[in-house]
Amino acid sequence: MLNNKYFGTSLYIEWLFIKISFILFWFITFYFSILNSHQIPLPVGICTLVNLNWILYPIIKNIVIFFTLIFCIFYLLEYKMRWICFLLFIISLISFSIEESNGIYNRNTLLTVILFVQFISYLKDHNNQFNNSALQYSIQVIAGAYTLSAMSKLVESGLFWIVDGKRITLQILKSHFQEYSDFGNNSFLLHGDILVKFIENHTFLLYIVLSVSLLLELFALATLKNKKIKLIYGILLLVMHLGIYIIMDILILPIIAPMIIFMINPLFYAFKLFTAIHHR
Amino acid sequence: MKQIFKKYSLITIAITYIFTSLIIGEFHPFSKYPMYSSFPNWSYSFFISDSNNKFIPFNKFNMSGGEMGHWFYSICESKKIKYGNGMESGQELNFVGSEMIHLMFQKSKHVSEISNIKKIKLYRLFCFYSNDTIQKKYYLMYEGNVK
Repeated sequence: MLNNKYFGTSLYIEWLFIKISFILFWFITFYFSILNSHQIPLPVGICTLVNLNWILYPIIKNIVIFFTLIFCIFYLLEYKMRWICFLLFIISLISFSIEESNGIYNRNTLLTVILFVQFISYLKDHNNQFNNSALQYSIQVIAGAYTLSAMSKLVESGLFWIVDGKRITLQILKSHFQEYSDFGNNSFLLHGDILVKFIENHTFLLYIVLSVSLLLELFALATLKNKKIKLIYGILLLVMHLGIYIIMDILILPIIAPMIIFMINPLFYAFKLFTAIHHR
Repeated sequence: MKQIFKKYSLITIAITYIFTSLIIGEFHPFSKYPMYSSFPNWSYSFFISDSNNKFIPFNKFNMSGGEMGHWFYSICESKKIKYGNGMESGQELNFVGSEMIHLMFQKSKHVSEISNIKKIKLYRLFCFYSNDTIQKKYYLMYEGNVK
């Protein structure tokens, strides 16, 4: 009910395009995560509680990948969604916990939580053919993640986070040096130096950008008000992430992609545009 | 309870996730999303070279500098080594460096480039502000044979 008002009348098509984009992104992330994990040298999360080394045997890995692909197809076909969401959640939890236990923090948290809340929604409304709550719950956890990020900043640094922001230059140097150390291309170092000089000469502009980013993150729950605000907020967050990418060369895809998919749903708008042109 | 859930269902999941994450902390799938929650007066980057100090890009090992950074912090945390602002001792850096190189070889053991390298050196670049000027310090963390 609340979701009809929230999402409008084209819910089925919107949900379908969200599901296609999300599960495709999730599967690619999961595939490379499990493919690149060969051991559990620095156990964290669930790996501290359960021995999961057996999953990393090549034959078991291949079986898991095969069945996961089948589950993803069922997910798209909306078949036995309660079970499928639960199984995908467990696979996500295990594979990304193993990845983190390799000392690699790709911040895939949101991907697992989205599958969990979708499982909860189907548990609640399993008779519904295309469950509206699954969409709404997913947006809730995405907005929650942004609010948590702002809270972390305020707890860790307080409002000094904005003033301390002038030291972002050290992070810029780091990320550009990392690019240089990956490929040995001096242009990364040069680009980093140019950005550092620009920021050192435009500190006030930096304070404004950081303040706006903090406010955007802190009030991300506003996105739950209605569909229009969700779309506008999604675009603003996308602009914020693009700014971070341009300045710091940092793109945390497992957070940005779900936000774009669930808040903006570009595939759906591309489809609408295509059909509009086609019917003209 | 059902009534309350229905009334506030627009934010119940978000609020529950926020509070659970604040209590549990970093335990997948919970997180406080602490990335860049502070801007300390230091940053570390890592790079490798051969015995002749010839720089070797990480992509030759199917690796990235970002991964090396993640390993540095993860190893320090798992071994309870305090890190940041250049506070680590030479011995600690040497230990963490050897673990990082070990993980790197584990990950890239199928990469043929490794067989061409006899010795490897791992450096840390430490950047910090002193008198409003960025200072850079290079430190040789580890030097060892390629097994």
